Amino acid sequence: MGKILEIEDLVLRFYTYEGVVKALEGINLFVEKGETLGIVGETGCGKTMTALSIFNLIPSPGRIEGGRVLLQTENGPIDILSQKEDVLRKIRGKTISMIFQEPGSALNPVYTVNDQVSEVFLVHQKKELVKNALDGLEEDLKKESSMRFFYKLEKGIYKKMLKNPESFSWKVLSRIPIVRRYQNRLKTEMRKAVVNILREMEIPDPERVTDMYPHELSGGMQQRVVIAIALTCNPELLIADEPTTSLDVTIQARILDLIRRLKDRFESSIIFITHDMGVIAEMCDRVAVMYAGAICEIADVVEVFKNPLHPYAKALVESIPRPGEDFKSIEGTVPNLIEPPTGCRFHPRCPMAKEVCRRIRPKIVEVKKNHFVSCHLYLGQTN
Amino acid sequence: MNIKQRLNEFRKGIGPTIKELKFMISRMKKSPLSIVGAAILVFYIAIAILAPVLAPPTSWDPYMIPREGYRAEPQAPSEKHIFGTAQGQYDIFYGCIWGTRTAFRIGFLVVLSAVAMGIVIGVISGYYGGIYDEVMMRFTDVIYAFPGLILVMALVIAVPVTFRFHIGPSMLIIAGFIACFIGVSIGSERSRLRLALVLLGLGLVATAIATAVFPGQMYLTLGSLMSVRFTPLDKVMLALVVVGWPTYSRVMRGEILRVKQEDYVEAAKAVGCSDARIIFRHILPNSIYPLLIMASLDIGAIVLTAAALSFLGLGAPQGYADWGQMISFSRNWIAVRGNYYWFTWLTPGLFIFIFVLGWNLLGDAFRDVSDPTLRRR
Repeated sequence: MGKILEIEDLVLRFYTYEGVVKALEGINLFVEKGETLGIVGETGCGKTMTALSIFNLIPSPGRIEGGRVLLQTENGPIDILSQKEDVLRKIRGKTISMIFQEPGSALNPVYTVNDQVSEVFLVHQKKELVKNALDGLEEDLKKESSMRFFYKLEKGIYKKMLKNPESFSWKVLSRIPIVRRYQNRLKTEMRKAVVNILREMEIPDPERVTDMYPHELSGGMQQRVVIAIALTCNPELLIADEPTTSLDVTIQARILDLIRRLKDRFESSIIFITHDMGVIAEMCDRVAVMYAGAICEIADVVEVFKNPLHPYAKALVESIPRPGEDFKSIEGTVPNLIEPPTGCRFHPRCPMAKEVCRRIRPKIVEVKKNHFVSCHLYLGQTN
Repeated sequence: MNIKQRLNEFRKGIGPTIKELKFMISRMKKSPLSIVGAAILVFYIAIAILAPVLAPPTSWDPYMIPREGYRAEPQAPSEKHIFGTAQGQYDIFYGCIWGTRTAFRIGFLVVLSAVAMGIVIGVISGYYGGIYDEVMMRFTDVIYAFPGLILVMALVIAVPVTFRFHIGPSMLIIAGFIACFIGVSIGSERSRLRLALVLLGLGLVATAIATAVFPGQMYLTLGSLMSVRFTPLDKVMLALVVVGWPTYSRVMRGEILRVKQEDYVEAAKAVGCSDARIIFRHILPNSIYPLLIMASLDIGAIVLTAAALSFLGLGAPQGYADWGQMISFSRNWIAVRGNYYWFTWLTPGLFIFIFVLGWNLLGDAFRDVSDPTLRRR
């Protein structure tokens, strides 16, 4: 099992009017092929920003100050942060894709489901579509028909298109009325593909749903469409950014089930971002616990629940509500990231804080096998 | 597939559009004001189309009002001139009828070009932000800094009648346009800027060469193809566009800044869509409505401004069929005791008044009907 993604010392800062927000401070992560990595943490601790930096899509005042994001491709690992925009565009949606938090707002209200899902095909898999369309044309040409002449013309166009589907002349042709009807065949192919992928998402009656607008669908349905968009190109790495937060529990369970089954099917790795420990326990192989822009602990999921080492991870596991027990919360609030605490960022809230915690930021070390912790309590043990 | 099936498919494809149109019309029917507005405009459109029938032109240029001699004193309505004649014996009826065409032309052309310009500039500065935004928005600020009407008047006077493109400057201008176009449409952020700069540099070099090859001929004209003649009315329209676009570009920019933040734009980026695709497919359809509503409300206002300019003697040439001009003819006869010459200003005034009222009513109705956030449910 190789690593599909490796994040090294990622530093992200936001330059705002109030000051420099130190959003991510030295993130180290890796994702192995076929595994599900969970990222947990409170709101605003940088989970989503980690995900967006994997896409190199940090919003405007933010800047990545250091580190590398290595993605394993066919031609060896590439650093996403130093790639050009057009290379990235080919990676986004194809090798890595993302499921967004709010299905309602992740879908464009003015287009039908068909339009939005087929957009991904158009951007990434036009060649395959053209090939399918050509096959259909061959079938039609075998038959005796009055349209034969047009089919032959169409065949010429599609054959040329197969060579270079992104050529500028297609853009021009597709704007000319009547001539642009050659695209209809492509559109039918696209529609077939969309219906197929929707069927795989277990959407009932996909033929009807493709022609619906997002507002006509329920939350669970919308989320399925969003997942369909993310999975159209069989991505190797899927980033699910709180995909179930805005759904109710029964739908949540079904969506999680769906994601798990699809993962087995497409053999992709998943980064699962959530603040719900229950979802983590259900879905993930390994867990990374984040606090205030830094990673506290990475370990197998059982290990984190049974034997958490970092005080924050301990507190987090203890704060899972259990019936019949008093609800335990973590004292204090998440620090302001413009002036984060010196040293370990958790020390003002840490019950076991020592003098050294205030001064030095602890390195992340492997305490046990596959159990990484960044805390001064365990620094001595490894040396 | 036979023709019937194809027809059915076509119907299915166009179905939602027709449904939407029907819905809009049914909404319009419910508000009486919009019906009044629409009726007024239909009336004016009919006048504009039927102008040659209603008032047959007598000279080779139908827009020049025929005159009955050169007497200064306006003549009251009579059998021959049913609205009377204005100062200089211009036929008021003819002027009002053909003036409708002028009004429509000014209103549509000015608003369309201003909106087009506003969209282009608003999109670029809103979507790309940074230096593009800064430069363009400061430019709109410059135009905003002047009082609108004064700037329009100054521009009308300043624009020359014939505008010749000279070899040197025109090369630079063309290179600049190409540079802007390429800069915005292709390449990644950094390469885009570099390419644009290179092209601008090439333009400069071309300018230098052109000046060197044709010694002392910076002002060599590229013949009649490259020279544009402006009629006085064109100058008015040009000035109105120059003063009008900043409003649209600001609204557009604001809308784009709002839509840019939406999750679906982020999602489109994460899927690997190109900038052009995101702008045209995802951002524009969600942000263009306020602009369209503004435009429909502005057509009346633009016609009013153009009339004001004509009244001041800056618009249409003497004798051109234009409502503002008709009123300007009556300038000397308004303050006469007993209001003896009422017909000189009342009819053209009513024409302008009702025209603007019609557009405003329709604009309001259009807003109520087409803004998806204000209707349904």
